[in-house]
Amino acid sequence: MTDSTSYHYRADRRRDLARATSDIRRGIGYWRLAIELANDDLRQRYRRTAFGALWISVSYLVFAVTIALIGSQMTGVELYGFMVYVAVGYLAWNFINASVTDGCSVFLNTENWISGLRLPFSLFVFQSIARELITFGYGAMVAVLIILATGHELTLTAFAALPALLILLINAVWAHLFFGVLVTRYRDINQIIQTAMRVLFFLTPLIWTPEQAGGLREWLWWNPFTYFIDIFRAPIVQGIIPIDSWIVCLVFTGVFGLATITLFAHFRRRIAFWF
Amino acid sequence: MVSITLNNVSLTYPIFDSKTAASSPEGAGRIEKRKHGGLGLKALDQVSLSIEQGDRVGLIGRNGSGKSTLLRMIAGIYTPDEGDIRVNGQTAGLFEVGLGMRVEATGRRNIILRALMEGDSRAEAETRVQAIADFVELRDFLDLPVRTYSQGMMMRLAFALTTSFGADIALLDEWIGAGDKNFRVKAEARMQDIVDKAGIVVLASHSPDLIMKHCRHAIWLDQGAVKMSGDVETVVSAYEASDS
Repeated sequence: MTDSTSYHYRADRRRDLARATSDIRRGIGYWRLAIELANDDLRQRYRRTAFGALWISVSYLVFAVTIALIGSQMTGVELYGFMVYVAVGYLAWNFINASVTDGCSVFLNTENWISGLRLPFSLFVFQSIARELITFGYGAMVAVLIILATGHELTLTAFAALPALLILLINAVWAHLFFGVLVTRYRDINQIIQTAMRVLFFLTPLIWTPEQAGGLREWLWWNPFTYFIDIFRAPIVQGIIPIDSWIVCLVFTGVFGLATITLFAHFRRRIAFWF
Repeated sequence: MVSITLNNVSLTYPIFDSKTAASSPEGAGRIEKRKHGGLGLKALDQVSLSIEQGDRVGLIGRNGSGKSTLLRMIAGIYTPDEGDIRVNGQTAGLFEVGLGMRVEATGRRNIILRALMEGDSRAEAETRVQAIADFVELRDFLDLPVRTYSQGMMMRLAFALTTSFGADIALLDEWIGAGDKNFRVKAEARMQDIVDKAGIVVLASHSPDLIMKHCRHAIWLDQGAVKMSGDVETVVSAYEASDS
């Protein structure tokens, strides 16, 4: 709408890819608006509550502490160490989970804008990711408090969690575009994904460690979330950089990216007709 | 130079809610089988047209004849299955009330969001609020959520949001129904303003009176195709004579 005052569109499938990448570029150009819209979303969600978005922190804190208490009672692992493990893993999981589940409804929720204005589809993806990042921030504050309170010792390696977060971010973009396109067309996929993510929460080492998994351990490595959690959590909790997990994550990001761009390029112009 | 050109533009909507629908209302696009299975509605059928700067064009036709689809096509919200569309100039479209707005946010907030969307910086957006507030005359209602507005108030805000950012081409879909007399005068003046600045106004309506009053040229759509185009009197009288 703003980047140019002239608009030309010729029906030509060969241009789909260029149009898809330009959509993403233009969406990034709207980052300021994406953040404003994300803030509005959260303001709306916590409207008329006294604590507002701080409820994110509260609910996260209650969950991490409760799980740590139950886990250490049940398995006899040391409480403070386990609390840090759960807190950091759950922080990453919340972001991953939101980028998949919110990704499913990213276009359905913004139909009102898509059918009224010529804006890049990716703007709504970045709006959703901005909202998830803000949510992540509210959780991260608590995670820092837990690390300080438990006296967990960090090493410089902990900074390796930052590039891991970047990988999670890139995959969040893919997840939104991929599932957003699929779900807008095939609504059943939304139900499948929501159910799958609830189950995967228990099948990913978050509230238990791989050592406690017993026979399940062999199967754990088929779950891609295991690796994404690992590259973020291990530098903070164990002070190591898990090279194997990094390799899996990088390959996954590349393949997922290619699949996503192909899908998005192919179906982008049809999204507006699927509501 | 502001202009709109369409070359053999066709568009078929997928139909998901029925597998058996076969007949569409008189004058509306036809239902057909799609290449990859399922049904589709041929909303635009080989539409070619050209609109030059300074023109006020009315789109007339029966319900479902493709007027709104054509407006959205010009706005770049829908893209053609076949054909080629070229629009020189910045477009602003007013389709249904509430589209492109957050009804749970205040009127003021909606102005800021739209300004950011139009490429304003945050500071520019803040200064824009006053100008638009003066135009819509909603006073303190501007600080209430849009969902609390009456239909007419929402219309006023939507019209102001659409026309306040220096667009060269205004695309209006049956807009004039809502809004009181006072506001209609202002809206009319603003449309004239766009045309005077060598812009284009395209107005879609099934009401011959409205088209006659506001437009110089008219395009008659039937079953998604251009049935007739030209001088407004000629087209509208032919449309009225067609026993609809």
